[in-house]
Amino acid sequence: MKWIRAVAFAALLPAAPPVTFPRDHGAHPEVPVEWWYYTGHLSDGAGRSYGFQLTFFRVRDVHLAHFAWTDVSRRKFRYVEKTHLGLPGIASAIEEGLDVSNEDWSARQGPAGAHVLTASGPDGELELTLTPVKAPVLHGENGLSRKGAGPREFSRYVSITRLAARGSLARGTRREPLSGTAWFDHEWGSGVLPAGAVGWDWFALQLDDGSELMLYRMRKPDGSATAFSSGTVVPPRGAAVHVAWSDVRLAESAHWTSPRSRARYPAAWRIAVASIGLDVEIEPLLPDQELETSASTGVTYWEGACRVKGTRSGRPIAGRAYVELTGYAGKDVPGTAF
Amino acid sequence: MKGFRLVLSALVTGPGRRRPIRALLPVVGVAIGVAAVAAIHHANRSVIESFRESARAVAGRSDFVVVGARGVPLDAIERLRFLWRIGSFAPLVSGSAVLEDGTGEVVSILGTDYGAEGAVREMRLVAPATGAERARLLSSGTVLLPISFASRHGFRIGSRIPLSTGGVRTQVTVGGLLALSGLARAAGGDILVTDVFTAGRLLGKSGFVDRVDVVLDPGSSADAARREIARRLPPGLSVEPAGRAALAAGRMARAFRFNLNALGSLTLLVGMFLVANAVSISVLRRRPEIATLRSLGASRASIFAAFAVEGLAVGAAGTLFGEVGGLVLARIALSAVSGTVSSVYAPAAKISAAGFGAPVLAAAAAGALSSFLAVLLPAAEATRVPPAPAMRPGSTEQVRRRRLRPRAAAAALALVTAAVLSRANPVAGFPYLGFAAVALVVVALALVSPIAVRAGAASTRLLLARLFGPAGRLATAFFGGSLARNAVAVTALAMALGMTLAMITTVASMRETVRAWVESSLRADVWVRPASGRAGAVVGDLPAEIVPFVQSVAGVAAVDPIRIREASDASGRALTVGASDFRVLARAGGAPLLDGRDSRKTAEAARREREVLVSEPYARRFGTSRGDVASLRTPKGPRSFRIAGVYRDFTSDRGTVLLDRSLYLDLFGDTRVTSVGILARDGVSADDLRRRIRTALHGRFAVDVTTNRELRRQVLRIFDRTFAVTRALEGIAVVVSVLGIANALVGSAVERRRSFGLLRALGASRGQIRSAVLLEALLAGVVATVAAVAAGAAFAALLIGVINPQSFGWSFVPRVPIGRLAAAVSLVLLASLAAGLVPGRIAAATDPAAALSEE
Amino acid sequence: MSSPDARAAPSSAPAVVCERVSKVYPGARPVVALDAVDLAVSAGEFLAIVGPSGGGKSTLLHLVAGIDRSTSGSIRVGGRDIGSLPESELTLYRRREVGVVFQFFNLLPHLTVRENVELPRLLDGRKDATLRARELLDRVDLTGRADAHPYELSGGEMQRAAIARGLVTGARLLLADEPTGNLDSRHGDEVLGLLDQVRRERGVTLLLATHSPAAARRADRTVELSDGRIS
Repeated sequence: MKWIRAVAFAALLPAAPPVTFPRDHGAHPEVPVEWWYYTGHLSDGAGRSYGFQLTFFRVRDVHLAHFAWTDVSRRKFRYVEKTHLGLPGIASAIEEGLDVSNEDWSARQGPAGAHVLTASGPDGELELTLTPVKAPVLHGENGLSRKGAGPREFSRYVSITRLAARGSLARGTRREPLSGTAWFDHEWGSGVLPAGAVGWDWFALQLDDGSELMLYRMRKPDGSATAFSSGTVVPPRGAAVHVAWSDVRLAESAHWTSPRSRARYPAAWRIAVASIGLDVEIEPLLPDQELETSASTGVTYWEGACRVKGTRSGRPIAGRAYVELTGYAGKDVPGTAF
Repeated sequence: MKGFRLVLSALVTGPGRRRPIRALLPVVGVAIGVAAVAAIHHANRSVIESFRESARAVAGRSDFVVVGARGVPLDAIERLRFLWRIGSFAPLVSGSAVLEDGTGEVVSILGTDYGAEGAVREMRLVAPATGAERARLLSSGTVLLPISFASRHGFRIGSRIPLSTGGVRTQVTVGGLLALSGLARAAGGDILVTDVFTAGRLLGKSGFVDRVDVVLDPGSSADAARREIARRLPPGLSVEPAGRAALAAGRMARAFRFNLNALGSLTLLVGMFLVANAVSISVLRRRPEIATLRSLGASRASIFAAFAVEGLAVGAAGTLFGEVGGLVLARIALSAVSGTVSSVYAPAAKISAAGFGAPVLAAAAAGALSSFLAVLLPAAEATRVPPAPAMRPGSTEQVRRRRLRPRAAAAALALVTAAVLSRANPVAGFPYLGFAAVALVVVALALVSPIAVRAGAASTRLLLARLFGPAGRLATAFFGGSLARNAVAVTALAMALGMTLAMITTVASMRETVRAWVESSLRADVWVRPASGRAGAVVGDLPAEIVPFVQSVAGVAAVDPIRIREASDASGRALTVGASDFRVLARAGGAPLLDGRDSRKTAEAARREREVLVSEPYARRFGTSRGDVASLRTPKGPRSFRIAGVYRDFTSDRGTVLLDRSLYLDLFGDTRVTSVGILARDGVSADDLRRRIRTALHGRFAVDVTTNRELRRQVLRIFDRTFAVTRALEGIAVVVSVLGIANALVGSAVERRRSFGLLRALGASRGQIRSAVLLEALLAGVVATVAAVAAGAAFAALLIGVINPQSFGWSFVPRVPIGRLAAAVSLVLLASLAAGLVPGRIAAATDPAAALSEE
Repeated sequence: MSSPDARAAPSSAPAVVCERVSKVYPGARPVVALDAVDLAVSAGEFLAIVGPSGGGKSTLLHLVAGIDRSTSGSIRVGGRDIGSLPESELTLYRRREVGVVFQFFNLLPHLTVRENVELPRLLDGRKDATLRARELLDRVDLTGRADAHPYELSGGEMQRAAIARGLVTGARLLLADEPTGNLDSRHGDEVLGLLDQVRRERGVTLLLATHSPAAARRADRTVELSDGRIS
């Protein structure tokens, strides 16, 4: 009887309201969990390359933020985290449009649809203006990104898969001009980790041919993907296409063990998506891009800048990626708390 | 050196070994004195430390704190955003609640911004251990609590804690356990830490925080930051140095602490007299030995040193035992003192037993120093014994008699000085000169007591002879005969008893004044207050919605929603602001006005003119009276009001400014109420009305509903508890001084051995000798009592007329509780009679043949 | 001279009879102060006991005065064995039937001369103490010094006061233990003369312990006590 009800419930999911912008870049306080996720690859005038991750989380009244900076040339990875109650002047997110902040970090709507980011860490103060190259993409089917079979196990998931980044990193009086490419994710929902899943692997690939691929694998305890793993392909022009997991082959080809958390993470992948003829290898730019966020989410995860190399329809192709790996460090899995 | 050892052994160690019990008696006296002082120190320090600690724990590392007359509105925090570039800041909501787990304990609630705590205040989570579980702490309605507090109450992670706060019963869930450090040390660790929103909801403070603490990064300019904060703040908010709260906490209990310390020092003074007494007895008894030693070439210095060593040894031994006793006493006193301070100052203040080191040293130093001082005079006297064979008994007495006249003159001078000092104004808001006057009365007492002893002996000679025959005659002869020794004992007892009588009078006057005040100021028939815990203190406040509920109850004639809260004047000095419906005051009357005008008419006029009433402590503290101006910081900025009248008040020693509720709502926009006073319609009894109100509020609000009579009883109960410690201390002082009498008489019994032998030879019975000694003890008690009544009257006048008004701003109508005073005096007389028992037995047991053969 | 005290006195002065009286002070090495002393004193007799210091004179007087108790033997005064009296009766004996004059510290320092003299009769609860004391002070020529304190008196005056006190109760047995020991010879003679006179006047039995041959010459009879034995 129970399963009938679960299925019926799933079938009767609320019709997803349409997503409109800039309203839906703003906060959705009606759901408990929400995040704004910026990742990107930057380089300075001297040709040094960097990766950055700036995330604003909201869990009910609590606002958390992570800022990670990967200095590829100097092989350094550092991050800062913040936690505050949602109080004016301390941490907030407005509903009308993009304006989310935590202390003096923020992501705000700039002129002409640009996203203006500020954040600071031990490596300096980052200021970036991100200009969307593509329109926002709504992942999943019918505007719902399913995470599991349960009635609450879905989210609304919007990405801008390619933004042109321009800005600077200021340290004391020195100001390093930066430019590159960024990726924006905005997801809101129940935040519940679906039953049977122990974590997820998330891939955001930006390929040289102007296309992007997002994939997430909900992992079972044995490491295999659940039925609700899926992805989206965004072609250089035209509409995004949903990718079913059955279309994806994913193999881990190396591992790295964190000296701090003792967690063993996959450290190289081969991903093939038959429907678009893609077959690439992904490798971290630095092995150690692990965040132990005891002062904020309490979650230990790996989120890092990677390089992509392989073939598309037989022709060589390269690109960049950000990969997120959760649920590898014991019980510290995001979503179990919410 | 060897020579001195011999002198020491001849005069001090030898006799001490032969009569260890006698050597022990002064030690016991000093020990009790030191124990009392040490205990008070311990208890006081713990109280003060817990205040400070709590203030420190809350202030954390903060450099500044932003506060407002009605707290800091959430939207004002926005204006501090610029601070993130140079530091950080953390809001805090604080209050208290009653644990409804059956213990009725009061617990502090602190609402924080978890994330900012790392920068501003230390907070260390010991459980849960894993990150994911920690994330659960972030859900609303969850609290963190110190592990010690949790284990005492049997709370675990996931436990639901029932609370009543803000007039409402609710539950919170234990999300985690804190190490007892940093913020968790606030309020002695009886604390629930939660988020600002949950705390605001629990305490009825939504939309506001109580303070915002600011920490600057190293290298940032504090002055510039402070100026910038002040510039950005809206009116009604101010930025203060963070240390101020701790200072205020210190000041708060200062007067209370000083009173206790003064009493403790009195006990030590009595102990000092005991040492002086013991050493002077040694000197008297060993005059022949001293003379012999001197004739053999012992120097004055070595004689002095020998007795100084004796005094210091007595002092050291007494101090040592006293310290141990003090620790034990402190444990007992601690609960009493904490009860006092809690009920007077802060409901959730609690004592930590930490930091017992320094007071031990302080008491040891006090013990050693006072025994050294005590020993100076008798030791100097020993050096004046001439190196000739023993003098005739009595000749030293003759020498003393001649000195009585200058003594009387000096005593008179001391009293006149005391009288002059008593008229002086407080120094730095504190009655130092009043206490100096008390000290001078003590000096006068010491100076005058030999005269009193002689006069006492002379005036009772015939009476006692008639009443008790030869035993009575012998008693006066003995009493007047040992003038020096008895004077010391009488002084000690008179001092202790005088202070006791004065305290009894003061406390009785206070109690009577408070009772009269309660009767006239608590006019309402029924009171509704937030549910209070076991402590009986007011915890939190009530939502405004309760007022219409109460109003709608049948039989209610009028309702006065009363608001009492902390505030400050225009220059930032902390005070209490009260709001009351002046229409109800105009109808039912309120606290009596000092100038005797009608409180009804005054309230009516004040309401019309938008004027305020101020309490007596306010008027004293700020030197204002009717027609002057009182200022307040309000959320709308500083405001001034004309003072329409000064009323008697004992609720706050900081002073209260009382506003009409409509004026208060206007300025503060704070609708919550601290308590609700309710007048019954004619013909409706208070008990009846209380029942109806209880029924009406049941299930909606967690409140105590009391009748006027019950509330009065509660007030007096708190009053009595407050002065319980004082009573205990007086008791100790009297016990010590009665020991002094016993000690003096044992000395006499030994010294008069030959006389007792002669008396037995002449046919005196043992009973007659015992009676004579008992009567002598009683006589000492009587003379001490007479002196104590005189000194006590002076002490009482100073306490009631100078010290209390100057330290608390409270004035009392003096009242002499004859019955209680008589009881205290009878008790002391009985005790002094008892003090004669042992020396009487020693005297009566004198073997005449042996005594007469010792030559 | 007709005095009220003569009327109040018993019809005859007591005789003192000691039979084999011994006094041993116990201790690690017991001291034999008196060794089987036999002594009879007739009523009204003046007996001088002489002998070296430590010979037992004071001890014997203490026993007769009821201040101390003998180790063995019996002491009868006026026919009563005082050794067998209970403490309360012995106190009454001391109070009423015997007067004592010591060598020093005869008087209580904190009482006046008059009070010192009154004291034994007061201890007995008698109302006429003041009257009797005045009469006796007059007799010993101390009326003018009655309100002085002992430390204001000369040695001779003190002993005269002590004699007055010894007689104030109407006792007919007077014991004097080296009463002149602290006095120069002139004052010593004076005191001895006074003792002899009052004894004759009042028919008192007088036992005088002294090491002064001059004093002993005034006595009716002299016995010598040395090493606790009468020789």
